Amino acid sequence: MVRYKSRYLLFNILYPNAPSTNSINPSIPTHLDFCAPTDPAVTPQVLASVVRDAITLQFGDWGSGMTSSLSGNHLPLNLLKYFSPQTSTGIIRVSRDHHRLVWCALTLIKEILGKPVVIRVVRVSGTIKKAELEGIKRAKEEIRRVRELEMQMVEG
Amino acid sequence: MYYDLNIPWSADNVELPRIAAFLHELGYNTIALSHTIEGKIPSTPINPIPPNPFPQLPSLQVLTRCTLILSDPAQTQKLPLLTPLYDIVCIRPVSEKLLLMACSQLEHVDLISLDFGTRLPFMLKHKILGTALARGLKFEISYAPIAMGDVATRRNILSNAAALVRGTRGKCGNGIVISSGATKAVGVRAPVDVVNLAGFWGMSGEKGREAVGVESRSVVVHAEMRRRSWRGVVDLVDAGE
Repeated sequence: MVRYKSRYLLFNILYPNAPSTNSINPSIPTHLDFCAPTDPAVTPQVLASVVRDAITLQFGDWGSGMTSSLSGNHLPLNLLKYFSPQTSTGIIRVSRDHHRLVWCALTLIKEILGKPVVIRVVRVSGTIKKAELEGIKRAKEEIRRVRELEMQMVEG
Repeated sequence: MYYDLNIPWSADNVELPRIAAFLHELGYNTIALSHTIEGKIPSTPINPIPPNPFPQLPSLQVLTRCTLILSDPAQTQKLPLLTPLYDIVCIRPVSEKLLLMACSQLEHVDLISLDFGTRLPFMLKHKILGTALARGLKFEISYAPIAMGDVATRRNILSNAAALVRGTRGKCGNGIVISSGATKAVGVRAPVDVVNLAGFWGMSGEKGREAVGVESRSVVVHAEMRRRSWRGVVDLVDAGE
């Protein structure tokens, strides 16, 4: 079996401690508050290093070797293929054998640059195309929810 | 249907509505707020959790649960007092004697939880755990301290969770329920992520999914049957005129 298989993890960064903008019930933050945009200081490099540190913390040298290794193709993997701070969405590429490891490390990340976060993996796909399409679909869904919330705020 | 059966409740925790909203956001349908009683059951226990704590989240079902941290078998005689007050009664045995008692004899208990953050003084053997599973009791693992706690807590939870998974292997289903035990909103994770985490403790994907869904549901149903009916056989449905 020669062909190299990878997995693309589409994930969201959620902010559970975001201040609530819910005018109806101030103690209950809305969906939008949780799915807030990311601070521009979190560049893709920063995020990638956060993920690598998490892998090292949870899985040690073995984990970081297995997932960020230069494979036979001599290409660095475990790249952050896509990251949008506005939607706090990203795609990470991992080898298929160790994608669960990276998934676990992502789950156990508790803060980025001092801000408490929760990372939720939304889709695991074998091709980046499908991961991107899922991302687009979710973005459209978000827009729809924003419009709905606006209507609610206007009426209420 | 995703369940999170362990959200520690305390009267001065202002973050609770936020935790509930976040859980709802992540996809959980039913949560249970847990009130902890340590050592002794009071002779007239009261359930301090208000009945409908989050009216702004109507699609989230909120149950109340009592977590008893006991080490003295004599205290277990007062267990029936708690049945009408809480939706779920959970026991956290501290000694091996109480664990054995909980697994084989105690009748008014729905869930057995253990403090996995510390080294347990007893071994989780299949013989003991098997009797509990055969009676329909489930065991609970709380995952919040893995992300939030320090290195020692993390290591202990991992080893204890793996030991529990090994000890409950068998035909009776895995009998494990996974819940958050989160005191802050940051400690909660999405159900699918929890299933992946469980895979690292030794639970296969299917068992992991059951732990967050079906097994939790069975605890809730079992608790309700225990409260409302006699041994699940005779149940009063409608008292009529």
